[in-house]
Amino acid sequence: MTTRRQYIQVLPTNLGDGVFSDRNGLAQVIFELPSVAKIMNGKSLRINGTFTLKQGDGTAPTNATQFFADAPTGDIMIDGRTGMSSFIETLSIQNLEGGTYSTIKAYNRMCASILPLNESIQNYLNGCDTTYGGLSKDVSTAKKVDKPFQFSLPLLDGFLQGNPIDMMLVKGLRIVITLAPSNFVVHNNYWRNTASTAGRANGGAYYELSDLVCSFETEVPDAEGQAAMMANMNGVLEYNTYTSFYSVLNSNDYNLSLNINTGRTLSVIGNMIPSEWLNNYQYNSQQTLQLIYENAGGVLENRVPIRAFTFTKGGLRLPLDFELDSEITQLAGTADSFKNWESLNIIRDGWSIYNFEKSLKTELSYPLSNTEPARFNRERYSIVEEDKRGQYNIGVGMDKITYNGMNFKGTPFGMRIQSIAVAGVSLQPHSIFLFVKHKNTIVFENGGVQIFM
Amino acid sequence: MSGQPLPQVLKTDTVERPEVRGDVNTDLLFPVAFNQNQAKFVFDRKGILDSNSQLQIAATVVETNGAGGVLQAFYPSSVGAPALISRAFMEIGGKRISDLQDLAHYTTWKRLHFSNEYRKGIAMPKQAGNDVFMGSAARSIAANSATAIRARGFTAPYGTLGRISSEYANRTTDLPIGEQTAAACDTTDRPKRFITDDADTTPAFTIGLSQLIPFLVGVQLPLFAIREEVSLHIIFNEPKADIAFCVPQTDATGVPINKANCVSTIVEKKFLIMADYLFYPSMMAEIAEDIMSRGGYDIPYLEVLEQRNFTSYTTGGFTNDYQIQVGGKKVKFIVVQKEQQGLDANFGNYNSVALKEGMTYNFKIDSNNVYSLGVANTALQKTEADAVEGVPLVLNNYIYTFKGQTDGAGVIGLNDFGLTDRLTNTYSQTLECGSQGWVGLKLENAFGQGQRISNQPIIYSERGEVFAPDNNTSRNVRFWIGTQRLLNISSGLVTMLE
Repeated sequence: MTTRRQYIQVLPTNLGDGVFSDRNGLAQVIFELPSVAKIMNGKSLRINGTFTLKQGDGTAPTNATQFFADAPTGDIMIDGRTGMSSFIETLSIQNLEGGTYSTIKAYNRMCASILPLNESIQNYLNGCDTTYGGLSKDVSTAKKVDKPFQFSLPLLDGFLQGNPIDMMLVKGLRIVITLAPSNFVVHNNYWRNTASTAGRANGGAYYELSDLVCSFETEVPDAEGQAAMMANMNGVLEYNTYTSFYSVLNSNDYNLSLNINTGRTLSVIGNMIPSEWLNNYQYNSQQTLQLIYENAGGVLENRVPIRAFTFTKGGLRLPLDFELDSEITQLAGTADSFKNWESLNIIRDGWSIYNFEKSLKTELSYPLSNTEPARFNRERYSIVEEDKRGQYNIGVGMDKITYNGMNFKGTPFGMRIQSIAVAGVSLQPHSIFLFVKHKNTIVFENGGVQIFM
Repeated sequence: MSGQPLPQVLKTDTVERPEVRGDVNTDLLFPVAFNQNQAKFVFDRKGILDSNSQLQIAATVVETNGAGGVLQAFYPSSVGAPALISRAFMEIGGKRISDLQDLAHYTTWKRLHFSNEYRKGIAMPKQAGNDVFMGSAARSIAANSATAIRARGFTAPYGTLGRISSEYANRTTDLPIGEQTAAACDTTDRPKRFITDDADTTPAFTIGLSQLIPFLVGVQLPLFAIREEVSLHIIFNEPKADIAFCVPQTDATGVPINKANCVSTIVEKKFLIMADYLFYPSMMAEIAEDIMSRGGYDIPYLEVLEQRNFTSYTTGGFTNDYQIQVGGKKVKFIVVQKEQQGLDANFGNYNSVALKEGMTYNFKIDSNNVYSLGVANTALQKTEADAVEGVPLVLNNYIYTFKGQTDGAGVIGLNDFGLTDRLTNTYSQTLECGSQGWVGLKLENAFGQGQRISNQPIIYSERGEVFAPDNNTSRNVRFWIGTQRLLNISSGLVTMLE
């Protein structure tokens, strides 16, 4: 059998007037990819389009001249580490007959944990900006969004990133993207400068997507191969995917028990953010800091020291039979190395860990004292280096040996986060986002589709 | 095919169980013929030629009728020392098995795939060039204010990208010491990489043989078992500014340089190949036996063909169609470069300058469109260019396209440049916006096989609108066509099969 490469482009099914937005257009994008005798390379799939950021009155931002101003106007931006991934609130991949292969809620928050673990800041500045649409550095990303720009966004769903996909056998695909609200995607520079409030003016800033096209490459077999694909009704497809969970932390000894019910669980990836910061123009809703409390000026920015993480399976300490202890390092303000290693290991394999958002410039740029800000302020930003902003992932890896995962059917996953109460301050509620990475198997049998988790 | 696939030892991959008695001989191989236009090397018939053997090359640059100041000439930032070479071809027994034309332009494309770390640590010291971009700031110094303090003392635009340069820009050598000054924002190539006018002091750089001859990518040539002459021919580029080298706008003392009066000379005594010959005694006996009496080896390899066209742009809508003649060949990829000459910038002629407001392209093969919709989105254009090598082009969006910087009519406002106006080698880096807008089409399938093209030419179409800033500009439009070839080495002779 010989094959040839063919590139396919698909417009949104619900195109309307071509603009997608929670303000001036549709807030959901649907692409229907045909059921044809072709093999899709899911890794090549891209959502292409133009991103436009607007102030409440419809005018463009002015970060290039206002970013550092005393009383700035028009300084609104998006999260630079996740870029365009921040506008996807829910990503659902279905077949054209209604069966669902994968749904990731809070996809943007998942990307907030995964994407920053890139090789280096230069990768962002020299290539990631074209695909993901972010430049990682706030000041550079802010400048980028002053004008509409084009992006070509991969979708980091295991269904697409795994094995080649028989488009006939899976019965075509329907990709449904639910857009995040503008006050999630767009934010002011308020955290650096409390005079920055442009995002809330005139009914609030908003974003628009236009010229959307879904594109992907396929392998097209010869006529004989296509006939065989069309006749085939049986097959098995195994892939990794994520299941999302949400909770709110509101105590210094927080216990969570979730019936995640996945048979082959590979890891639990998570992050947290003050609940007040979500869907709030004043703050970046994609931040992944550790617990923080208010400074004297009423701004959330000082760290609540973490004592330990404990992970359980059915009440037993599994896969780690010890507490992930951070108390001494957190109180001393030094490198929390083992916790960092574990939180990297949930995303990358321990033996191939590389990243930049855990570099000395970010994670270890915290001041020694916990009463000082948990990030460098705008008076001391670095022109050439990455922003000194923490990247605090939580979670645990389950199986890095066989990659077959642990069985959580009937036994709940538990997580305990102990933090050290800070005298005289109240603990603000923090939203916890957890993404369970697990294996799924789809069995195609005589035209029927069954999914096993 | 009559031969066998290549054995492990003749591939460039790591040999799984290298022979303990393996040995490497490094010879300094000087050309058998040399002048300022071309040179020829003949390899000894011994051992296995390591395709990572290196060509050393150096040049001097002088300005005739100049003021005699230090020129600080440098190699084009996007390609480095390969700019000295126009063409390289390899012959075995008089048969030309691989021929790369406009080599320096193709090397520019290849270099775009180097990672930043590789560029900084290996490519720039080894081959010169200067193409790592990071965060940057404006060149101008702001008046004292709270805003200026936050902006590190620099004026808008904030958030630009550029080559690494000072975060502080303080005077260090003249009074008042410590004061911020625009001149301290400026950078040059490393002084040790400047091309001098003296053959003894000018720096030499090295270029891998597999960069010169794509045939050697993945193949270690068994010279010991080839009975014919194996030779490498190098044709040099014209010894002019922007082609073989670049010069700043002023010399080290501030006197303007007339680039038309600058010429380069290849330094003969520094022009040589450091040839590594590999020896694996017991394996070589088996290889010799295979080649001499068992039908030899079939070697599939990549040959990059070039086609050159020329286009001028005038304001208004345009549709340009180009025919690419590759009938009968198995094509793995097509890369399109649009070189604009006469730009005073760090990259010399080694560019592929995009149109200010972009364009939409498509290919037609056998009268069928490759893309159902023409590709207009510049990010998708880069994604498709990334697919050619399977490795992303390592360059930021501001360098790939003008989109996101222009006003819709091709004009870029002072605060809209994505790159900094800080100078490198006296040229503003804003000149490099949109300078590497390469187009690429991958045609090979998932098994690495190219697509057989009929006698009907491939049509490459571009359409769009030209605005005033691009009016009356022109481009050399080059097509690099990667074709799948096959040769056989048997009985000590090389035969081209396809």
